[in-house]
Amino acid sequence: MKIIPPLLLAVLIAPAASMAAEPASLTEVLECGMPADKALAFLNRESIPVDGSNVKLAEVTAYGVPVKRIAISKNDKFLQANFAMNRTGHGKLVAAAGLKAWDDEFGAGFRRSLLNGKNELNVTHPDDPNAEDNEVLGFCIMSFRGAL
Amino acid sequence: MNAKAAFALPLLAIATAAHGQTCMVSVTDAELVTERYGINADLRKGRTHDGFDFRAPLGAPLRAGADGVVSTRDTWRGAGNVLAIRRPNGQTQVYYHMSAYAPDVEVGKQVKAGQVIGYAGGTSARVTGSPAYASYAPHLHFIYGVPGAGQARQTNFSEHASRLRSLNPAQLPRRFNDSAKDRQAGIGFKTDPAPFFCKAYPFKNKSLDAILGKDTKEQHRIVFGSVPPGGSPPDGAYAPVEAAAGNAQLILAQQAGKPIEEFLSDTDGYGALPGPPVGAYETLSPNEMLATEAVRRFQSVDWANDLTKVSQRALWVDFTRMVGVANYLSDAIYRKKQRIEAQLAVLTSLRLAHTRQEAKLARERAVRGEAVQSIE
Repeated sequence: MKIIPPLLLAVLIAPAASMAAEPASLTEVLECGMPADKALAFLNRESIPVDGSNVKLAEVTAYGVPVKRIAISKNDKFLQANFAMNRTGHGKLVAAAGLKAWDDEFGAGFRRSLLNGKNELNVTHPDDPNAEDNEVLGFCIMSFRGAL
Repeated sequence: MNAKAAFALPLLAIATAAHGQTCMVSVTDAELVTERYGINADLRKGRTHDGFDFRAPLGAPLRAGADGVVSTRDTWRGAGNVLAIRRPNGQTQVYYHMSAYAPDVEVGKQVKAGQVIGYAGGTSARVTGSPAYASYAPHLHFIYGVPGAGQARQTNFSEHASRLRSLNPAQLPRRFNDSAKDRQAGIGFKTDPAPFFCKAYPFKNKSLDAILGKDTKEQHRIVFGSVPPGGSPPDGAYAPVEAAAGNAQLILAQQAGKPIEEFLSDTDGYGALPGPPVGAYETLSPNEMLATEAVRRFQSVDWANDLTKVSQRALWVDFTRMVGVANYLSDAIYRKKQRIEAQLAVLTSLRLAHTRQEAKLARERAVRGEAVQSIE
């Protein structure tokens, strides 16, 4: 588990007015509105690992909901940002992100397609028995090539 | 020893000794089942569950339950990264949603009981063979397959169950008639994994412990050891997972003191096609309503899939709903025709008024003409 120092966090969450075309914060990456290549460039620039390792966070939000930790991974097709937050923030996140409910053979949750289908934001159901107690998980999948 | 246990124990003996094999060791370190086999009693109530969900945090090691040969290593739609291990007796252990495979775990290679074969995740895949990505909370969905349907039933039902009546398919959850799902390539016939494990595993959700058992082996004895009246017999047409869910529903109904018909909701009992957007029709124009229905019925893959799975009653419900929509649209068209006719009547009336005015003027001109002629 890595800890991002407060100074670096300040950089991550600070708006970068001089770089309007680039991701301004980790929040924008987690909110899943960034193209994969730009998000990856931002993560590399900020030395945030993309090897799937857990990074504990403080003071980072997604759609106004505090994020506890992230784990970002990639392959040649996707960049994926996983994040965890308290269950209490679930309703706020679903409403703010405009997520729609889904329910399939293996689970249930809420999701939304973004960037013309290139990205997808998916959040687990608050009653999912496989999530840690009092925790919901978010998954932002960003496609490098075309729609998912 | 009560009667239930009396024939449940031989049943468990069949599961192990008759197949000449050792029982399986634990496949996860947590040893906790988050979703029961057969029935979902939580957020996916009414859905059948063809295996155990084991608690397994992201990256937790997953182990081979028994010696065998890796028969499948692939990504499957919905199941994500999948690994199947075929035992020497042809039975198969299947792992879904893995985040990664352990080194040297390849198709055709031997694995030993307890060996780490991969790591837990919550992966899914858009289509079979495409790269997997995280989509579910991390866990292990574990399936146990046997090569023959009869064997699946043999390990799932007591000999006494054959005396019982068949379960009414119309009273079962939507997937009960989907027997085509019984056998999945590379897995065989899915069955309750409980008797094949050495240990019994407790359930995370305790709410059904008193009724369906506090651990996996106790549930197996309750659901299959003494099939409830109306439950599925061993020679029935239903897959074990579906029979398990149905028998569990019957036990739950008994506990609730209700006949199964009352205990099950219509959706539970008969299946249902997706309904129209709740409350939306009140605000839709007939054209918008037609467009909405057209999209739902002719462009939705889910609709096409569900259409073949629901019972006749669900189709009648949808037919009745569509008759209602047709009546609504007929009424809307009738009212629109009324408005058009009213407007035509006004137009005709205006035209008549104009004609009357012209006739009046012509008459006046004629009268004036006659008057002039008479004076002259």
